[in-house]
Amino acid sequence: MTTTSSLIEFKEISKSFGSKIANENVTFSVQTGTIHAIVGENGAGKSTIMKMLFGLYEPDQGEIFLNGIKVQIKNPAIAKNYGIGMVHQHFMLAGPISALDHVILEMTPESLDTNAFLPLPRSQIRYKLESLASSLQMPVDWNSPIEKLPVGIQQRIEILKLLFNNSDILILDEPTAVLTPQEIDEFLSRLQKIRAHGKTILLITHKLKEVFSVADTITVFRKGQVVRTGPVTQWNETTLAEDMIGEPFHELKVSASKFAPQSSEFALEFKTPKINFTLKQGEILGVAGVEGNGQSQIIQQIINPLSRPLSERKDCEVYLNGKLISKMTNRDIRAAGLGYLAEDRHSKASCINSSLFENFLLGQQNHFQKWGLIKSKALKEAFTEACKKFDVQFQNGRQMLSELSGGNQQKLVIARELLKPLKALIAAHPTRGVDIQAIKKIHQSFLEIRDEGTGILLISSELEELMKLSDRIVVLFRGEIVKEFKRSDFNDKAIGAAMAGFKS
Amino acid sequence: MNEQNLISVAFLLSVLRGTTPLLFASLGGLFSERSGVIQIALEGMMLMGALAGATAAQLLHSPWLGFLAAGFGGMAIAALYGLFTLKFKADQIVTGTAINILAVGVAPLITKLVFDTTGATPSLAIADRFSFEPTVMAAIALLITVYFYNKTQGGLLLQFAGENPLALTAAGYSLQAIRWSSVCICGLLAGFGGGSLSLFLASSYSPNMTAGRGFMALAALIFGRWKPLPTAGACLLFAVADALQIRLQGNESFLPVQFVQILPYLVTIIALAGFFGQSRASRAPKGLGQ
Repeated sequence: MTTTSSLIEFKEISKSFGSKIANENVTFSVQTGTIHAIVGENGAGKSTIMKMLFGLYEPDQGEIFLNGIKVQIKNPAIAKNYGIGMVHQHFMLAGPISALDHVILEMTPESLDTNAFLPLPRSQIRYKLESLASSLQMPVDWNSPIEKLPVGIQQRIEILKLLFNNSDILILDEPTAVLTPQEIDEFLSRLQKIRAHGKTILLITHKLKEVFSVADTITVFRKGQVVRTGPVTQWNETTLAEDMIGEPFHELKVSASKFAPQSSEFALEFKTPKINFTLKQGEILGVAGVEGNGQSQIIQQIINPLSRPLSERKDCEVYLNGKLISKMTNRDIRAAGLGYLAEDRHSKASCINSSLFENFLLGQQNHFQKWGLIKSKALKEAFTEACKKFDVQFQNGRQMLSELSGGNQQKLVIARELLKPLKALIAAHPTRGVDIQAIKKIHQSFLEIRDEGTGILLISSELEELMKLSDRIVVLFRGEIVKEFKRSDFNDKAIGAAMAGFKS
Repeated sequence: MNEQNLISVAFLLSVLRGTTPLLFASLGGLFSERSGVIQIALEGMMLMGALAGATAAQLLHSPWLGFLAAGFGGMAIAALYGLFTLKFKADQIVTGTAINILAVGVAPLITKLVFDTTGATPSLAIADRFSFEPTVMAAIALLITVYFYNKTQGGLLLQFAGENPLALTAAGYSLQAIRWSSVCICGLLAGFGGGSLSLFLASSYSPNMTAGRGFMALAALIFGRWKPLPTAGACLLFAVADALQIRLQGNESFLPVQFVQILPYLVTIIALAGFFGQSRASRAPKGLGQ
C-alpha cells in the first residue's frame, strides 16, 4: 500500500442530509499530477464529495487517505494545511474589497506573519503575487475592488489564490460556467500548464467536451454513487453521457419551424435607444452574451416595465403582437399573452415552501376563481393534465415544491406558463440546474409551441443550447447588440468572439 | 465683535461635546454592522451605559471608574443581544427593539434599588464628572478604528464577515468568534457613548436621556457608508444641527421652540433620504443580518 498508494483515496464514503442521500459508498482514487474529471448530472453528488475533501462537510461513513495516510478533514483550514484548495462554483467574493485582500484572506497565519492588530504587509504580498501571476501570464489589477473586475479575471484570481498558498490539489467546481468559448479554451490550456507544474486538479463539470480535451482520468457519478472510474480512453462522448444518465440517450432532433404566419405582426418588437430587435411569430431568437451585458435590462423592460425608473423607460417601446405593452401593468401584459420563465425560478417564479397546486396557481388565479374563491376542482384537473403533458414527476399536488428535483420544479413552472397559448415567451436560462432528460423535455416543449406560432426569446449562457434551438442569435456586449447570426451562419468561434466584444 | 467671537468658540465646543456620544455609538455600530450584525440596539446600549456610568461615578466618586462601568454596562446589554441573535439566531431587528425597550424598563428598577429614586440618579458633584476627557477619548477611538479597519488583518476579517460570511468560513475563520467580538466591542463603545452623556454632557442619569441618539448614531453610520471617517463626519454634522438647535432656542425667534428642537432630527432624515436613496443596497455590507 505504501509504495503504490495514490495521492487521494476515497473509501466507501457516505453522506446524507436528512433523508436525502448525497453520497453512498463512494470509492475512487486520484493520482498525482493528473487532471481528474468528476462528472455527473446536477445533484449526482459530485460537489458533495469534493466538499468533504475540502472540509466543508464531514462524511457520515468512510475514510479519506492522502498519500496512503488516513486523514480527517474537519474544516477548510485543515484542508489547506494538506495543500488542498477549492474554487467554488459561485465565487465567494466580497464586492467592494480589493483583489489583493481576497488573497490575503486565504493566506495561512504562518505565511502572513502578522496578528490581527499589526499592519498587514500589503505591498510585500502584492509584489510576490505579481511575480507569480506574470510567471503564469495571468496578470491582474490587484488594487481594484473585486466587483469591478470581469468574471474571467475573478476566476484567475481564485486560481492564483490557491497557487499562491502552495496548494497542490486544486478542486475546481464547474469553472467554465461563467466563461465565453474563447476564455474556456484559454482556461483549459492554463490548466494543462498548472498540471505541468506537478499540481493535481479535480475538475467538477458536466460539460463533456472539456472532459475529453483536458482530463486524464474520469469518475462518473450518478445518484450519489460512483458509476465508473478510470482513464479517459475508456469513454467516448456518447458512452459518457449514457453513464451519467443511466440509460441510452438520444439527442433531440431540431427541425425548422412548421408555422406559417397569417399576419405580418411581430410576436415581439423591442425598441430602445441602445437595443432594437424583433421576434417573429413561430421563431426562436437566441440572446447570447456573457452574463451582465444587458440581458436583465431587456427582461425587465419587457416583463416589468413599470418598475423601471422613469428616465430609463421614456424612450423604450415594446410591442407584443402589435400592442404597446411597455406602459401596461404586469397583469395586463400577461393577459395580453406573454409568458415568462425567470432566470432564477426560486426567487421570481415559484415559492419553494408552497404546495405544487399553489405554485401552479401563481399568476393564473383569474382562470381558476369565481367570486374570489378558488375553483379547486378545475385547478386540480388542469394541474394533473399539465403535469402529464410536461412529464412532471410528483407524489401529490399538496407536497411542497422544495421536495421536487430542480428539473421537475422547472417543468412545473413551464407547464404553468404554457397553460394558455402565448404570443411570446421570455425564457431566461430555462435549463439551468436541470438534468439532461428534463432539458430534452423542455427543449421539446419550446419547439412545440414554436410550431404553434409562439415567438420565443431564449436568453442563455449555454451557447450550445442557443445554437441548437434558435433560428437566429443576437449577441449582447456591454448593453448593446453587437452582432446577429442566421442559423446557417452559426459558429461557436464567431459567436464567442462577438460575446467577448470583438467586432469583425 | 468680541462677544460674537466668544459665542462661536462656545458654539464649537458645544459641537464637540455633542459629537462625543454620537461618535462613540456610531463607531460601535460600525463594528457590529461591518461584521454583519444589524445594530438597532445602540439606543439601549447607550442608555444602559449612561445609567451604569452615573451610578458607578456616584458610588465610587470617580468619573473614570464611572466611564469604565458605562462601557461594561453597554457590553453587558450587547452580550445579551449577542446571546439571542448569534447563539439562538433570533431576528436581529426584533431582538434589537426588545433590547431598547428592556433598557428603558430596567433603568427605574436599578435607580429604585440603588438610590431609592423613580428613574433618575442624583446629581453628580463637579469632581465626579468630566470636563473634556470623553471627547479626546472619542477621537482616540476614531483613530484606532481607522487604523484597525484599514490596515490590519482583524479589520479585513471584519469586512469579510459583513460582506460575505461564506468566504470567511471557507477561508477557515470562525464567523461566530468575529461577530461575538464585534458585538461586544460595539457594546463597549456604545456604553462609552452613554457614559459621555451622563458624566459629561449632563450630570446625572435621567430617564430616556439618550433621546434617540442611538438611532442618530445609526443614521450617521449609514450616511457615512459604514466607513469610519465619513461616519465621524456625519456625527459632526448631526452635532452641529443639535448645537444650532440649542443656540436658536435662546434667541428671540419667530419659530416656536418645539420647531427649533426638531432641527437635528430633520437633518438626520434629510441626510438619509438625500444621500441614501437608491445606492443604499450597494453600500451596506452585503451579509448584513445573515
